[in-house]
Amino acid sequence: MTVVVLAEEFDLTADRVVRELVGRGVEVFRADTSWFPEELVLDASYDDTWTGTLRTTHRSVRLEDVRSVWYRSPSAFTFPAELSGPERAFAAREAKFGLGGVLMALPALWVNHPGREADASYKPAQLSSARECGLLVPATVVTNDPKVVLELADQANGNIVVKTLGPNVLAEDGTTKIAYTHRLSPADLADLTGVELTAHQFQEWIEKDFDVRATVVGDKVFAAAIDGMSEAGYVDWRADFAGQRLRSLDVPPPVVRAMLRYLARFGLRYGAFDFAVRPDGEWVFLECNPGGQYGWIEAGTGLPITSAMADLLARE
Amino acid sequence: MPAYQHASINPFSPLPDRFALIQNQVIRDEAGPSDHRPFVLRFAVPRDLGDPAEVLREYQYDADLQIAVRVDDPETPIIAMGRWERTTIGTKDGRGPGQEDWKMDDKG
Repeated sequence: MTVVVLAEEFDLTADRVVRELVGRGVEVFRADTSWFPEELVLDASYDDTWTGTLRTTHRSVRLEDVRSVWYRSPSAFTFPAELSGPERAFAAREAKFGLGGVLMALPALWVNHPGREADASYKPAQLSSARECGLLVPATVVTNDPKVVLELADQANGNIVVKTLGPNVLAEDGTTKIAYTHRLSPADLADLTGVELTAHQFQEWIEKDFDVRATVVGDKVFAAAIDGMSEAGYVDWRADFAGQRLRSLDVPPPVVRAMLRYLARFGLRYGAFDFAVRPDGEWVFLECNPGGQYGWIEAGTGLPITSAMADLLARE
Repeated sequence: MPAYQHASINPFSPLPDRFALIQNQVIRDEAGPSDHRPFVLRFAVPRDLGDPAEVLREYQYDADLQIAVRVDDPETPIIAMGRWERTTIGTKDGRGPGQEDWKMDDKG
């Protein structure tokens, strides 16, 4: 049986898991979907079950031998430059429904299944699911009405943040910009121009002692406290990786149970949960990234996340 | 009042994200006027995510080992060097760099 790893060629986290699996004697077939169709060939037939091969010039895997698939942010399909824009878009759709469709139809364990991951990426659904699973969540509004923002600010004594609902990355002005969680000042609240242009997410600011990134792999939980050492890093630790201190910590059992319920609810086997831990010790759920990174947590704490991922992928 | 144009993505449907892998159009435009810009983008800040081409010149993918190795020393996997630079470079599903791309040289 083989573990299929779908990842970019340059991905150190994937490298570590591949090496761990190979070291255990587990068959691994790693590929990047950007190799399709030129360097990655699919040959699939259906007759009661899907059979056939997925192969490169270096190795191949029989579809019926696929034990698990790690969907680790592979990159986009690549097509000949001669294709027109519409032809390229058409070819990409066919590749998605063909290669993606066959792989997703296999009776394999997915970490995570792309469809489940897509469903779990909606933050409003994350919040309601987290609450229903027993976690505390911040008061939240999603709106394009500035008046609603001011009402939330009134309820929260002016202490609110704005954060993106989707990926926070923007390519403009010839550079990459990132919209980190921002704590609104009185001046920000006095001019909410632009809220009306699209959906915005505002939340009460959670007074916290520290943040936690809890990485759940299968039923194993690895939690790290993140102490932001700068003002920006305290509000949003993503804003200052270099200035943060990490330490492993135990998760209260009710929070563990709630996270496992949450993953089961979405059909996920992996999730990177973010919490703010209040001064009274209560853990407040902020979000769960179903494809969140863990490499820097493992590097900073020594938590054996790679080993747990290998355990999960190689599980019979 | 700006003239509104239809966005190119399907509203709500997660279908495009299910096994996405379709290169979306990469938009490299100039920032719009501040009074016609989503509020949350007022706080977007430039971030140097490095030059993937520069990194790729140093390393290459070894198809037999199925991991990346140094170009000038193919026996040495990057992960054996104790360096965690960036877990992922380039685009993910054509959606641009992820929000959790990170860089920690010489830690590992």
